[in-house]
Amino acid sequence: MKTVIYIFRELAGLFIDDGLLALAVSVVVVCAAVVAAVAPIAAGIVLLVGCPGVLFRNVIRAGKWRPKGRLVMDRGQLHDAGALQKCNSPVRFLSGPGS
Amino acid sequence: MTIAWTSVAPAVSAAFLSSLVEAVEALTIVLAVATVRGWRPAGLGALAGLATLALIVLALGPLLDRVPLHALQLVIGVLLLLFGMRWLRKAILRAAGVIPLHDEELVFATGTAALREQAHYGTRLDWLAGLASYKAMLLEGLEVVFVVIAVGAGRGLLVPASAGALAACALVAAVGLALRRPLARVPENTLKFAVGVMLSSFGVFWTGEGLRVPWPGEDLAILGFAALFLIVAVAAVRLMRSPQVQAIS
Repeated sequence: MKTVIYIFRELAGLFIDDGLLALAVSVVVVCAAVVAAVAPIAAGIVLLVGCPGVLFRNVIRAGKWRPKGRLVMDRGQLHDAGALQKCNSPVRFLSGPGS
Repeated sequence: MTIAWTSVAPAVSAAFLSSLVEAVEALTIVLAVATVRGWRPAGLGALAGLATLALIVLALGPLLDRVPLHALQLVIGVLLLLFGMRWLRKAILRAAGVIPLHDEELVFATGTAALREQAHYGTRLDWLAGLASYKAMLLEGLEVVFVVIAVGAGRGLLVPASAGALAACALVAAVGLALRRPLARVPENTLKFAVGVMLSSFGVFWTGEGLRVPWPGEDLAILGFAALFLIVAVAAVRLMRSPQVQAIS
C-alpha cells in the first residue's frame, strides 16, 4: 500500500507542485471549455489571458514568502547574506513555495 | 510527407532541453551511488530503470493511437500546462532569489552522505544503492517520456521528439562518464526557464486544439505564446527583485 501511495505521489508530483496553481489552471481550462461551446476563438483568448495571468499572480504571491535578505544554498549550508538571524521564520521558508 | 520546421523545431528543442535537465539530475544520483558503492549497483539500477521505462512505453504507446485526436490533444494540453507552468513557476522563483538555485554538487554530496550513513547501520547497501539509482532513472525518465509524448503525439512528431530526447541523454551520459562528476556548470535554471516557457506554450496550443480553437497562424502561434509567457515570466522576476516588493515581504 505504501508503495502504491508513493508511486501515486511521485506521479502527481510531476504535474502538481503548488496546489493553488494547479487549481487555478484547471479553472481556466474549464472556463475555456465552457466558452468554446459558444465561441471557440473566445476560448483561445481565455486560455491566452488566463494561463499567464494565474502564473503571474501565483509567483507574486509566492514571492511574498521570501525571507529577509538573500538566501544562497552552498555545500549543504544555508548562507544568508547577513540576514539569517533577522529572518522571522526560516522553517517557514524551507517549507514554503517550491521546496 | 514533409513536416514543417515550424512544427518540428519547437518540439525537438523542447524535448532536447527538458531531457538535458532531467538527464543531468539522474546522472547526479547515479554518480553518487557509483562513488559510494561502485559502478556495478549504480549501473544495474540505472539499466533496470531504463528497462522499466521501455516496458511502460511499449505497454502504453499503442494505446495512444486508440484515443480520439481531440481528446488526446486536450488531455495532453492540460497536463502540459500543469507540467510546464510548474517548471516555469519554480524557475521564476529561483531567478528572483525566492528559493535557492538547484545545486548538483549539493545533491551529490547529500546523496553520498545518505548512502554512507546507511552503511553505518549495516543495511544491505548494494541493494539500497541500486534502488536509489533505479528510482532516479525511472522518475527522471518518466518526465522525459511524458515530454516526448506531449510535444510529439499530437502531430505525428514522436520520432523527431524522441531523437531530441535521446540526443540529450546520450550527451549527458557521455560527458558525465568522461568527467565522473556532477555536471554542476550546466545552467539548469536557465534551461528550466526556457523549457517552462516552451512547454507552457505547447500546453496552451494543445488545449486550444483540443477545444477546437482555430489558432491564427496554426503552429506558428506557439512562438507567439512562447513570447507571451517569456514576457510575463521576465516581468514577474523583475517585479520580485524590485526593492519595493522586497520591502513589502
